[in-house]
Amino acid sequence: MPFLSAMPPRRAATPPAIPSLEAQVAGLDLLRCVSRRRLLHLEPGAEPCLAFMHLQAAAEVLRDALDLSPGSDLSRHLDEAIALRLLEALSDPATVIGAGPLAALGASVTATAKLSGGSGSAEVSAPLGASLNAEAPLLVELPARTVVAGALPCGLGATPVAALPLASAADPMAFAAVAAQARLAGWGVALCGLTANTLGWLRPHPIAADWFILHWSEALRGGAALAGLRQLDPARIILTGCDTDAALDWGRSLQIRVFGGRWSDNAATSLSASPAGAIA
Amino acid sequence: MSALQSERAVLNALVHSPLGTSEAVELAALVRDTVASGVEREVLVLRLSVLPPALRRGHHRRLLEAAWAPLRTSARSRCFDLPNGDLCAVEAPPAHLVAQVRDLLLGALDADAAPEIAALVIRHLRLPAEAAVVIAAIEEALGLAARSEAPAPPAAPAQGFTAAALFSAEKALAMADLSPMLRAFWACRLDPGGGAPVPLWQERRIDFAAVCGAILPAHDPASAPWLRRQLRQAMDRRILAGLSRPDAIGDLHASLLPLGIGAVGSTEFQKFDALLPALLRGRIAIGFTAEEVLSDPDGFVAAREHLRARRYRVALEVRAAASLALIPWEAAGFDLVRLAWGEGLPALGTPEARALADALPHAADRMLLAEVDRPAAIAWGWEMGFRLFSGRLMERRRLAS
Repeated sequence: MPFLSAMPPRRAATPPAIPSLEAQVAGLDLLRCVSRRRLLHLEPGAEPCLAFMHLQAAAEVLRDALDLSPGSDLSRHLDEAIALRLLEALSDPATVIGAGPLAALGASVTATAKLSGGSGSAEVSAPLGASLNAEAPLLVELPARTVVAGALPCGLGATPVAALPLASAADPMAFAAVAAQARLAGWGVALCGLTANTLGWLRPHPIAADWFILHWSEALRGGAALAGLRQLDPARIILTGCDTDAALDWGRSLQIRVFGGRWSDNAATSLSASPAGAIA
Repeated sequence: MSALQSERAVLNALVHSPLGTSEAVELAALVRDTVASGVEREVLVLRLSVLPPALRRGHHRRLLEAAWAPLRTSARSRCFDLPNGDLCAVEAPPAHLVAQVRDLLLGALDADAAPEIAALVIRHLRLPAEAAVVIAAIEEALGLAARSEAPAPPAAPAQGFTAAALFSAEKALAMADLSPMLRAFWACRLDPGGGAPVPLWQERRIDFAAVCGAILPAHDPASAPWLRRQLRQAMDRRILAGLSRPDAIGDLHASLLPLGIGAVGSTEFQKFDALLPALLRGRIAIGFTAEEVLSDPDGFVAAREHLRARRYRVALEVRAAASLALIPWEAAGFDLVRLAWGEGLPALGTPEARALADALPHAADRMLLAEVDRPAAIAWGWEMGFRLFSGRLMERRRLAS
């Protein structure tokens, strides 16, 4: 054993290992771990419509219980485990139940979601099922290196999109290979994680993604970020975090068409009930 | 300078042993010429160096020499004596003499050696189709071949990496002094036609896989990238603690230290920074991989600013040529680029190679070609503008000279 040292043992800066964290993740209620956000397609002269249902898995319950900071490696590990569970549940035809295109994610959903064929009486306890019932493709955040092997069961909207983290593009050729595989399996591919900071010094345009997900901040108006942004096709940008009219106006002025944020989440509540609902 | 000339210059710059060296270099040039012109040649290689010792002496040896003799005297063929004792002959097709001698040699070995040994010792090759095999034989004869004892792929660890395994590995690390496991590789300046390599500064790297093999024998760290990253950070902190010991910091040269972003904010780094001799300040580069930078872009920017304010250099470490298209080194605030040599790098003359050359710093002291294990890497590097090289090949040459 090469590890001998005069250094006094240091207390490990990690929480004590209670059962197994992976087992705890496997036991979490998937519904409570997946955030669902509506991404809207907004175009002058056209009715607003739902562009994507944006699913993001996060083991927040466990993270809080363990007092982990959201950006820590351990908490991102747990998030990935949940994301993989989500993908598995989405890919399993057995979870699509009833005549309507309702995806129930495992037993927990069938237990809590007393929905039948899209009667419209969605309970608050089954928001995921209700969301997935919408006629919009899913955009699912997945771990780097996820290989999506098969198409989603029919009824889950049009071409789903695998949203991969920025680090998955570290080798753009490897990203292209993963993207090609995803397309063969009937998925589109998005690159997550672009911000005013990263656009200032990254050149994402060679990345073989169908969509680039950019998070809004005031700093996007700055020179370096704007220069980076102008290299991307605005029709392939999804602008998230648009909580203000200013953010929306900025995006529209750059010909961006797909938006998400608190604003769209609220607006879309009525939208999902009547897809041609009025949004000023 | 053409690629062919540069290959020859690499051999000249690296090989100091005069015995048989020039013939090996001539043979390498001949092989390259056949590749460039498409002219066909047949080659007979007699690898006396791999012959079992008993067959290398006495009448066995005399039989082989006698069989080979016509190739030395014929005007149709050209014979090369390689530095390790191997023999090589080249003849234009139809190479009757080469075929004849091959049969004689096989006959001479037939009685005493197993057929698989004969096949290893006597090789009949065709140029330009089998140029790579001949070049490999030359490199081996010159002692330049990549070591064949490449680490055997470890048996796939049975279990996926779990948080529990991470915690116990971190406990093991908390007790460990990793600095003895830190390998130093000299980054050497090597110019075309400029003589022997000149060591300038060191890369100090830990063999992550080896340490994992010791503390996590049953788990595969690659199966959980975020846990792997946390383990890597724990190692970084132990390395920094080890380097901060008075004897270790006294031995420190101008260096490139690869770290994770998280390690830069650690108390271990603060201590290292406080103890760093004034002479070394400005001469330590901290290296981040492209993947690490993209895993935490905000953390990266903060770490970069912290390091630059304290006069460290910041290096971008890449393995894939295309990474530099995504992360332009200068815009991202790096001082130098470390590219790891590998088979996946674009061939000279391709559009990909031109794009890579454009993306690299156009300054010899800002770009290092690392993990160089064969002369072809240096020939490639020179063409791409590299003058700084590190890796096993440079270590061997440095120690030999």
